[in-house]
Amino acid sequence: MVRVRQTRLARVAQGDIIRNVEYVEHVIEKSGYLDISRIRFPFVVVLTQDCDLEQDYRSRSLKNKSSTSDKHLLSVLVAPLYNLEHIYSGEHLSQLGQTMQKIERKRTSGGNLRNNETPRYHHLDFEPTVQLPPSVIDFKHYFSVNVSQLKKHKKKEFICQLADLYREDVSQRFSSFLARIGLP
Amino acid sequence: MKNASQIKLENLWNRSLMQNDSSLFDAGYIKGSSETAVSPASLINQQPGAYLTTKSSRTPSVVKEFLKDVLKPEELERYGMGKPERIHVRAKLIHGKS
Repeated sequence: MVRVRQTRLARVAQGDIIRNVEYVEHVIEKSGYLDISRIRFPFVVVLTQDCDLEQDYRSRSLKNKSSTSDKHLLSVLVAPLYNLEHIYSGEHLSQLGQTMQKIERKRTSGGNLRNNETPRYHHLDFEPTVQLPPSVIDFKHYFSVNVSQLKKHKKKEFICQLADLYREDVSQRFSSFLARIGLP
Repeated sequence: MKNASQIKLENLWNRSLMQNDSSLFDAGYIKGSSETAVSPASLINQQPGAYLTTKSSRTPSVVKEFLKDVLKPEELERYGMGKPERIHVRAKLIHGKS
């Protein structure tokens, strides 16, 4: 079971789980109209390294305002959390019109998923006090969000933060997933 | 002490039993066979989220519709009904091209 902190830091922190974060698919301007398509994810987890996030926050704060923007981040990397049951049935993106591969819970693939032996996914089983069902992070669906926007959004939509060891585990597995080499 | 969600679940279960109503099972709310005796106590003592799942033949909206009178929206989210959704916005530019 994953341990979490329920106290909200003022800044965006690695391991933060935040509700209703939007990803902008496209913005098209045509014939005097602006068409914006967004995907709203019920829950996302922050993946960006915490030291980078802290430096960005300190650099922007009025007290320690730096003369350069060297430490500023343009965006924060996040990845969506999907309900474990929906992942099993392959229906976690059904509202987007996408059918995903089913994972048989009782077979090896289901066991590998829950034991975090599948590189693409990270399974999280939360304590009963946390308002989240058993979930899965899909590293393949990572996207970026503006730092300042996420910091504002977090004030009302923060759920919890993964405790240190657990967020480091997520970070390490995400790094491994990105760095994987596909051999023929 | 039971919380509001647990009381609602128990009432739903009791109503289902009294009416010999299999809709709880049909909606995918309860895992396993409809012939399996699942008591309200065992249901409530489990994490409710473990039971709120959809069968492959049932869309989330069917289950959500069934449960919306029982659970608050945030409880539906807690019990795993939230999925990513696409939002389209179309706005007319006041001054034409930017």
